[in-house]
Amino acid sequence: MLRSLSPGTRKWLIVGGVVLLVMIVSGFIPMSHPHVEIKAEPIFHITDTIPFTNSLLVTVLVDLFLIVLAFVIGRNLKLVPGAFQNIVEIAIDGLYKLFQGVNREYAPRVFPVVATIFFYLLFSNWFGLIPGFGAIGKCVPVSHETETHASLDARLASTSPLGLLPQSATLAAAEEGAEEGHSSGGCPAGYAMVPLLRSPSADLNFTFALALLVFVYIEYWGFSTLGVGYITKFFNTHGFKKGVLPGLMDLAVGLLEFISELARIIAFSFRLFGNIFAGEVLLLVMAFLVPVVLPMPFYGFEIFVGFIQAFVFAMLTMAFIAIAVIPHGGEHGEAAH
Amino acid sequence: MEATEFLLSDQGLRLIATALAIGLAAIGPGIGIGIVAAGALQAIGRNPEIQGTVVTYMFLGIAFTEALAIFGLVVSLMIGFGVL
Repeated sequence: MLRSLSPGTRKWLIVGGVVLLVMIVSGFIPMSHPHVEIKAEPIFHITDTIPFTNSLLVTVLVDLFLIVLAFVIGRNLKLVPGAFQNIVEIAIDGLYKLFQGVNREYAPRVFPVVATIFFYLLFSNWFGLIPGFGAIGKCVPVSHETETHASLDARLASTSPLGLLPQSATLAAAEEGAEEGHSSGGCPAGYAMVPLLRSPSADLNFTFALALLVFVYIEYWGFSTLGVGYITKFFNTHGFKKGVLPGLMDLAVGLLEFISELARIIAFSFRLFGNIFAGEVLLLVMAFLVPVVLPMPFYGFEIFVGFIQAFVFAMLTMAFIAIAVIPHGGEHGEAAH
Repeated sequence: MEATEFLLSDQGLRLIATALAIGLAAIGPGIGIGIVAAGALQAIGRNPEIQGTVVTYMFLGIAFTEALAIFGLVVSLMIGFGVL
């Protein structure tokens, strides 16, 4: 019967049949609840107080990957580039032109740092999308790491005898808690899964550290270009020469500027963390709801988001440096927020 | 027929707060990103040669706008996971 159809139709029939089969079969495979953890979990402890987390492991892996890549390309530079060198050259050249578009004078000076941030974030975001991240792990006995859920359930159960909840609801909640403990990441009861790998950008410690680094770097450029006078951008007393009212006005504007300068750290760290972490949760939930075809467009979207977030982080650093090196009083239309 | 009593547990309140935090935080940035994209498209429509630059700055603008929704998301996650 299949032979009588055209090859194109037959191909799509087979593809559709296979997809349908996978969907039906996957309906019978028992699945555990999606395991979402907001903080990176320790794989082992270096000392009693310093844990070695799974995101730190991937941080080191991405470091090694980039260093090896840089060595392989840097040691074999040719005047007539091969395909691989060509790709890298196009990427770096394109990035450099973009940064030049922001500030032509300072782009060469800050490019090494900013481009490193871009490539580092790009690969750390994309590494987190490799299948197996967050899925491969080991089962550890439930300890203080997973206490939040357990204590919530316990609190729920302990409040109910006061008459706040009907008895049946308590039982259901207790049963649900037990079941969740049973099937957490495919581990037996009393155990929780700790993933071996986790994207560095999905760990707030990493993004916050990077944001602090970038903040210090921006202020360094401000001070090294404008000297101590850079601080009058935020604590501005020049306006008092014109009178009391303009002076107060300038002071208030400067203080606002100072607050928004500090808010950058939070914005930087939470933007990256929120985007990447939300992307991972989105993929997890989509794969949990419909395991077959539905996650694929979201996967593509997350690859795009990973690129855009790396780009935005580097580009904003460059833009803020360009703003920081402008002398005060020269331009007033710098409302970048 | 006996009256059914609806009671709000601590966990239920937490779920409502989680959903509200991200739901309300998504309204403003949704409108904002629409305005940003509309402006960028108009600019490209009037001057197609400038497309590369406009798209770059459009993404920067979207990043600023979207940061608000991300703050909401983070707060929502923190409430949901019992950090707050």
